[in-house]
Amino acid sequence: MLETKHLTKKFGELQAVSDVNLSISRDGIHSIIGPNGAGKSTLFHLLTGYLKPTEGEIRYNEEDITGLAPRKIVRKGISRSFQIADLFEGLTVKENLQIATQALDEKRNAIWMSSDALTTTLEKTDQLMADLELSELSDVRADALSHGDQRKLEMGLALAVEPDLILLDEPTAGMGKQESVQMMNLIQRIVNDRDIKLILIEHDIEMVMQISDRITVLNRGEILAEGDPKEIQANERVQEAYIGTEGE
Amino acid sequence: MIHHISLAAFDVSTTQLVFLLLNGLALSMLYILIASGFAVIFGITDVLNFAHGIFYMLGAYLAFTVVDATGSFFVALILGPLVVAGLGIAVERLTLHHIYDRSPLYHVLITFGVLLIVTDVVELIWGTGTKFFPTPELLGGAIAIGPVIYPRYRIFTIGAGALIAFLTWALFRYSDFGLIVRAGAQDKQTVRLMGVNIGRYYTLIFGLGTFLAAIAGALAAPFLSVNPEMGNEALIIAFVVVAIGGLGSFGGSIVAGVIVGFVQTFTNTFASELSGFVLYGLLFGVLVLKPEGILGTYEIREQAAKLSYDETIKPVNLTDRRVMAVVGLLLIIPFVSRLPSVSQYGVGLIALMFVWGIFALSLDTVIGYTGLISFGHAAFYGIGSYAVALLTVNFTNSFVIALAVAILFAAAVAWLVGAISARLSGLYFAVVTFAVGQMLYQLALSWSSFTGGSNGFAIDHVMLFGIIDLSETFAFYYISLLLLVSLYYVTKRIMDSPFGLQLQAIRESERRAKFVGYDTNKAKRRIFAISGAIGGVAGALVTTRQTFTSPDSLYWIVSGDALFAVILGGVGTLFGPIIGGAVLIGLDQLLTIYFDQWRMILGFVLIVIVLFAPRGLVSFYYILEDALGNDRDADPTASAGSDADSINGDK
Repeated sequence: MLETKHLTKKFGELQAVSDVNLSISRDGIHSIIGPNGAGKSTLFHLLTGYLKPTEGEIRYNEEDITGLAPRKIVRKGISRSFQIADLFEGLTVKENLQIATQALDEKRNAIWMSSDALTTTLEKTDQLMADLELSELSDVRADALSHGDQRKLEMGLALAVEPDLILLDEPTAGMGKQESVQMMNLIQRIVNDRDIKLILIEHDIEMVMQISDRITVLNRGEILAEGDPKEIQANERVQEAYIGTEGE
Repeated sequence: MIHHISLAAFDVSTTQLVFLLLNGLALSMLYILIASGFAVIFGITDVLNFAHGIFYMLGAYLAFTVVDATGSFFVALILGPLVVAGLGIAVERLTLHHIYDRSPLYHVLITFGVLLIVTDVVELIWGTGTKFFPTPELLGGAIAIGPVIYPRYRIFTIGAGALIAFLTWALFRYSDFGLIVRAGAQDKQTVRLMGVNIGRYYTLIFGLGTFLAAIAGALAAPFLSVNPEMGNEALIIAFVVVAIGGLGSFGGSIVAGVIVGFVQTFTNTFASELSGFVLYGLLFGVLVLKPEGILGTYEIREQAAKLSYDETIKPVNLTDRRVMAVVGLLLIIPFVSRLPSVSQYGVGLIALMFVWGIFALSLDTVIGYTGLISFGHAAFYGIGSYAVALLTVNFTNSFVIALAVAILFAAAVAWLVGAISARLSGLYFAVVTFAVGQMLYQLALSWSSFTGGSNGFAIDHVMLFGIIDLSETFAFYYISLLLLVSLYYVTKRIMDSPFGLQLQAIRESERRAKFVGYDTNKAKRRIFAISGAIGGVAGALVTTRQTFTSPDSLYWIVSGDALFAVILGGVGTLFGPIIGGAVLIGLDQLLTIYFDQWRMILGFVLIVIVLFAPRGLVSFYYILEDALGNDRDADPTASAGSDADSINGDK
């Protein structure tokens, strides 16, 4: 489904992502883990067009999408969330999701009609709010939401564009243990219901091991290991990398 | 522009060259001082200081007075700038200091208010005439440098300028003060967590920036003239230099100061009629090729410069019934006011208030809904004005055709401006739009065969359907009212559309808008074209009424007034800015009868509004509503079951 060849991103001297060859299949949840500064978020930025790679190539369903603008990549069916929620803060939950849903509508640029006349968009927005368990907060401004609800809305904005592939960057960042578990259950339920391929960056190793079908470990911009959870757990280099950096 | 450095006659070209190089260097040093103060303030506090020029001017005037009193230029050179720095610190402490957490738009407006006040204070104290500032005796005369006999004072300027610039650089590079300040510019929060009171440093930085401006003014005083225009000239130079060098980059303002100083010196000598063009052409080239400037780092500051609303105003739905009531009242005003001599004036004034309502409305679509601070809206107003004027003089005096052409041209130019600056946001956007506005102003000034130069030109009466003379008060009143009401409903409908929702998304987070699949640059171009078209209508109307146009319609102060009107009324509400525009021009016209220094009063009003009622005049209604509590439910005019608020626009 998604492939990268020799994907590299340099910031001056620093190789944030270095010669990464990924091949991610249609099925299951794929997680990307690695210590801080391993290049996980940079990789997401490259895959979604936020950054342009220095070298290498990205193919999605056999098509070359290297260097395309974010909005074009979204239209191909890849959407993402950010590590720090990037919401339309001054607007309500409903307006947030309506804006994102409306982006799919062919009348999204219309200037001479009410936005509330796009009934399909409104129905989809309501459905998504219900799925995210945010319906009761419909009229609350995004910046007035609790942290947990903001994370949900962040994911909602990525889901609203009806992707085939979604990249979630630490969706449970800053949440307590119980809240994280709930969030992860919600994520799993939604991606299953909507048949969306999920690629996940996650810090909580225990959770990653539980829910992932396949894991890629990054370290210093390079792929350190790849495999199913058991293989990764057994991998000595992975253990070293984690223990090594945690001691720093 | 500052281009008063005169040249002696030469015979030998090397002599001429050395002379020019020295002149270029002297001018460069002044520009570096002016621009670096501006850059330092912006780079660290994110405040785009429109009062920078008047601090420069104040430095010159104070130096003049101190020399007058003490006879010592050196005392003046130190004392004057210190007093100005003290004033800068006071301004910062009293105003900006309390609102750093707010949108940078409000900071711009505070400094604009200070500009209005100080400009008038200077006129009150020193008058409007040009002051003769004698060259200090010690530095009088000329010295021989190779083949050139060069004024000693300018050599002193070069040396002093270089020394001050070097000391400032060293302060930032090597002192603890500089370290903290530079760290604070990168990451305010972290510095604060380390126990540093960053606010205190902001005050000092503002003082330092104004000190640099004032000392540049004092240095310039003996060889450039001391007059009330010098503040505006310096502000524009600061903008141009800093935009070329890179906003907030100290190094950039040095590099660009030298470039601009030399370019101006050489064009003034060899192609003086082109000097305005060359300067703005240079700026334009840089902005198109490298919008962050030669040494600017746009990425780092992108977030900091973003316009965000801490208290977004939910656009209030002004019920149609209320609008109709107000319009009904306005329709009969010309009939009610029977006294011919009084009513002519009053009706004409109200008509002008409609026009400014239209202009402020146009700006609100960009600022209030899209979050783009346009500081060049005078461009569209002026284009509308010139379109009508040129068309009437050369082709036809039909209002319908003139208006159509005005709309078309204003929209086309606005679309271009949007296209050029679409990559930018926040204050970078403000600087680019400011530059474009000033370019057009310069064009209107210089291309006198076409535009009538600085005097402008008068036109015939513009006719509606060949029979109604629109320079006539009553006809103009009704056509303006008709256009205002129509445009209000048009913009309201556009803002309620899917496109309007998209604009609000861009205002709140352009990055996210891109990541849900919107072409945000396209949306910005479109809204700019729409906004420009509406601004063009305002300009076209004013010229129709006054049967006259001049470059004043393009001057940046017009943009500043429009911004003032939007904030005064209530940004992001459409009807608020209409009220703001009307009130502003109403005050403007009435106060000018009684006081020469009426803009000073406006300056105070602006500052008070920004500090205490940032949601503008419409917020008075909210305040009232809060006080009345649930009484609103009993209001028979409030539409049942809707959350639509209403406001009594009848002021």
